[in-house]
Amino acid sequence: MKWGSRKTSVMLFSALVVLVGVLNGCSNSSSSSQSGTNGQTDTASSSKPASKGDTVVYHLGETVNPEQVTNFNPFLATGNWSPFFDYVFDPLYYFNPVKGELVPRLADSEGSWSEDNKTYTVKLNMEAKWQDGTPLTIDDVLYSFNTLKDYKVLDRYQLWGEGRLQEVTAQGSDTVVFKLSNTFPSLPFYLTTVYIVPKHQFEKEDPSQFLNKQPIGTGPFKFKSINESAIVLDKNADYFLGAPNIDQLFVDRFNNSSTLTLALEKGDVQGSTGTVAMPSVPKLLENPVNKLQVYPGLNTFSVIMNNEKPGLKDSAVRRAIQLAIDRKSLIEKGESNGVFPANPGFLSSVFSDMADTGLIDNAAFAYNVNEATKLLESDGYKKNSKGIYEKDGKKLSFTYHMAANAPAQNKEGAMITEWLKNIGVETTVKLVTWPELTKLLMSGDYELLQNGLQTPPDPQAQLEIFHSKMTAPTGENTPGLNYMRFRDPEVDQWLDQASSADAATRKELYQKVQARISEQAPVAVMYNVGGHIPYRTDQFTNYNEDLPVTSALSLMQVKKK
Amino acid sequence: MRYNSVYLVKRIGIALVTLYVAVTLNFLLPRLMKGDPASALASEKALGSQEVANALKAQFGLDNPSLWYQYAKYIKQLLHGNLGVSYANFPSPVADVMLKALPWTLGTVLTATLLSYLIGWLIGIRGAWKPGSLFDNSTLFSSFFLSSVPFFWIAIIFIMIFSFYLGWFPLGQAVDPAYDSFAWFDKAKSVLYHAFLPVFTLIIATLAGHILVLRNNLMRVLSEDYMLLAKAKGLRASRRKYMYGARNALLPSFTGLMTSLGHVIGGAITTEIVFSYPGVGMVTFNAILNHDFPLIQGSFLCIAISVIVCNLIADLVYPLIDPRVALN
Amino acid sequence: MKKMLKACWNAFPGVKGKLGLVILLFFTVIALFGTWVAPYPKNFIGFDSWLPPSVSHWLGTDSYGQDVLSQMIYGTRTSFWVGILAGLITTVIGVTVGIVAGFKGGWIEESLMRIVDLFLIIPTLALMIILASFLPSMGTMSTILIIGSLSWLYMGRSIRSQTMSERQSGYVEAARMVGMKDWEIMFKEILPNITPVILANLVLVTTQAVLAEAGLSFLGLGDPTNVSWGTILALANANNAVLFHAWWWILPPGLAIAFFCFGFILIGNGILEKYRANRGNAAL
Repeated sequence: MKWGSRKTSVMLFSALVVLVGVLNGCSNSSSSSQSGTNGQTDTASSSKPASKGDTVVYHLGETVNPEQVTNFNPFLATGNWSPFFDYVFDPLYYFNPVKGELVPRLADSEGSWSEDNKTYTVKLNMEAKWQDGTPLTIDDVLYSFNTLKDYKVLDRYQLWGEGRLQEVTAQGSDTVVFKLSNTFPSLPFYLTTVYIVPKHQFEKEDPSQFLNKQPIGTGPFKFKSINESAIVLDKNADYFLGAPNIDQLFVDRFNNSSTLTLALEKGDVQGSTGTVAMPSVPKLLENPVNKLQVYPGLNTFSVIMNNEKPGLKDSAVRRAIQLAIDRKSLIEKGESNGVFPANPGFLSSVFSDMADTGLIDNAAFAYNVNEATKLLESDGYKKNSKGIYEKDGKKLSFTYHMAANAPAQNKEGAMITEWLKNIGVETTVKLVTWPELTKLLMSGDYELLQNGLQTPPDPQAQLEIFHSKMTAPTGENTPGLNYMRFRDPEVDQWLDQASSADAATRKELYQKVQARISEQAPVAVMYNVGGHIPYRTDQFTNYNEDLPVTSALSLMQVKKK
Repeated sequence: MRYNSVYLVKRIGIALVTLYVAVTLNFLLPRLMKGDPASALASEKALGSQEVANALKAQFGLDNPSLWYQYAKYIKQLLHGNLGVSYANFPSPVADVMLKALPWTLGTVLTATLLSYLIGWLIGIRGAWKPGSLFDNSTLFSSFFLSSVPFFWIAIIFIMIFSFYLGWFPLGQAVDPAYDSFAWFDKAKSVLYHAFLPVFTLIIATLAGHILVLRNNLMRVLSEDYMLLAKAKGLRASRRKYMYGARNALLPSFTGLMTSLGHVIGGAITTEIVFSYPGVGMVTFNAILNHDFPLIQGSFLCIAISVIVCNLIADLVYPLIDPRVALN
Repeated sequence: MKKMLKACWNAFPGVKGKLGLVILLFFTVIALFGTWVAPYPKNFIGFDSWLPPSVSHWLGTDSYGQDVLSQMIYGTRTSFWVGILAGLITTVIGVTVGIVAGFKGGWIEESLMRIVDLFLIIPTLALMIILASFLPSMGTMSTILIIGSLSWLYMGRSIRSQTMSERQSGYVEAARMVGMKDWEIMFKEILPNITPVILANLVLVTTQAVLAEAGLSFLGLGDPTNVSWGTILALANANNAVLFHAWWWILPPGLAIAFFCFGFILIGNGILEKYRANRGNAAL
């Protein structure tokens, strides 16, 4: 750009300074009001700026939008960024998605089941201390679980639902007893979803409304401050599982994964908890200091089908749609091999001992256009003049819903609709906002819909999305995740049996369910998204690769090189 | 006083009516979108549980589906200066969310708008003074070209060159991550440093329009009789250029400036997205995508008020500074 | 024939106008005959990813292994038609509202202009998202309808003020005397007289429509099954072309949008300058 003269640029600069001065005044006042109670730590850090050079700071990059830092209350579903709680708070057990197993946090060891499998006893690690110095007591644990009972809106995983928790009581000063109204073998997995909060802080508030601007946890990191670009955490030197090696943990906030990935490549941040622009991965990995940890997870991207709609009622059509999707190309071209092939029997390979992983590579469910058209033709479908299959005058023409504001996802949708055209299935694409997408799923007012299906860390829960008790007829809202409106009495029966069976029987029953799901294809699976965690190894070392490398338990071991 | 009280009352009256209609539209528009925020949240965070969905609805005040009931509640809240509680940020009040985002948008978009007008005027004046000169032709051509470029593209190119390749500027964000431990001077520096590229992008993107408008206005003024007279009187060129020409040419673009200022809060969504900047544009866009009715209402209200107030100021001030405007 | 071409050529005033015409002709040819020109089929994803420009891929390939040049050529068609059709819709609405308001005056003008004011207050993008959820599909036609029906506001204002100054003219008075009906005066008398202004506005709104399409696609609200310059740019940004130094994926769509709009603006400016010269600096 060529401005008029020197004088102009001087004027410009002074105007900028004045205006930004005004801005800074505003932002200062707004941030000071918010960090008012935080005065103590603020002055502490500014009084000794000299020691700043010695502080070991680890920068974690994440997409944390403004709406994700309005509270630090682990009970709330909204207004917070959930990985935060892993660093500052502790659950009784942590679900390690890399190994698919539970790791004790506040629990001392694995809990024990009673004879009738209706009581679960957990001994606590009484060395744990709140970050304000108060020791952890059993009352804190009881309070955390009982709050879910008292506030229905907070019990997001239905711990107190029918046939589940009946009572949570103390046994002595260090043991919690979970009493169930029916057998519920998945309970330990569900315990990972509850962070233990300090009763002495929470009992003064309404836990369903409390913003908890100064969170006090038992976790390895302490909340220090927050600004527009980062959440700042200090190490908890008194952490009962050992003090972290790094002094400060910065969660650098971005609002899109591409910028975050650029920051990673530049070395501004050392890792993320799982956000990365997938197509950038090959380039990132060209630099040997960058690493990517991948493990399967609980989110299965799929083309969800309403099994009650004409055409999709037919399992042959659903199977054909599954066969039309070239999962290998999707994973390679769309996701740069950073995700896992999904199991046509749906159970994620996270649960390696339960999942029938043989189905993933089984040729009967792999991309095969000829097989797909053969299936349709043997079911009585005939191609019309436009190359679209039809039967009894009804052609295979469906609406295809996707979430707006996700260009890369939509590109994959475009690839899939193209493949569907190859097997003579016509689609009309529609982009809608996320809440509308959910509404369509719940009410069944859709035909094909591309989205992720996310379940809790429990194989039973993951397969129960095909249970008929989780569904409702089209037009009515489903009570659970069976948006497909899939009904199979045998599947129901196997799942009901499994819910209270021993491990070996469960495995057998799950195999049956998976085989049935892959045959009936109530959903057409795309790929399984778990963790794809980018991290740099040039400045820090000692990551624990048996855990998500940037999870609290691994990060506390990470050392400066 | 160049205008009477009737004019004043009429203008203010129109502004108030517009505000009321805007407030009502702000209430209706988001509710036209299909999909219910409570169920969506329940499905995302609570396995689609109907019980949680109903509890959330009660918390959000959506348990009574009557629009009239909700409308009355909304108006009553507004009259008490309460913007309600955001759904996606529940239980944070909308006012908190807005107040956090506003300074950043005001700081960048306001600075950019004012600077862009200033630079645009200076270049426009110089060009119009000697139409057809090399300077005039080159600014004219580049202005045409600049106004054809999508500005999120400029933003991406700037990040690519200045932040990623050259490393002169940050990749985005509004302040340094360690901002909280800075002394006030470093804080100011950090804010300026991070605001530079977004402001620069916005200036580049809007400059062209201002250059063209001012150039056209000035060309017209220069052909007026009083300019000839001034020349005949032997007034110095610089005096004629700025005191006579530019001043009269600036007047019509005063309204334009006020309109732009009114739209400052609406912000620049795409620019904020590309620069990871925490402004109102981002908040509004996310609120729409989340069907966060109270937040959409709050943000639209801020935009409506600023546009209406700026238009009102333009209506009231214009007759004072331009004596030629006849009042009707 | 030759004469006709020459007349056409001269209809575009000045060097700028002619340059604009050449640019537009270039894009028109690509838009109309692109299918034959493009080296590879639309949305074909079979190549290696991230190939830099070469003889077989003049603009390299993207992260999906699509030939960027081919995508650009198919994208031209989308952006071209969105621009032209949305521009036309905008113009029809803008001109009608503007002329009616400017000519009728009184409460009709007042209420029309208040509606315009009101719509100017609500962020257009929000309106676009809301409107999109009511249309049966998010195809290119929907994009055209959405942009066309929401971008006429400034144009309406501009045509109104132009009509108001025309209303004072002698020929309107004369037409009234003869007893012409209002709509006849509006659309048979005033309309032809302000055609250059309309044309200049048409050019401007076309440009804005092309930019609006790019913006919508960039925000992930465009037609994903089709290719447009906007979707190419959105994908380049979402898939971090910057990291791969893949300038061949980022620069072409932006430049194509810029040059296409540049062509329109040059023509519009040429028309306006000629109109001004003819009328002696009419206020616009």
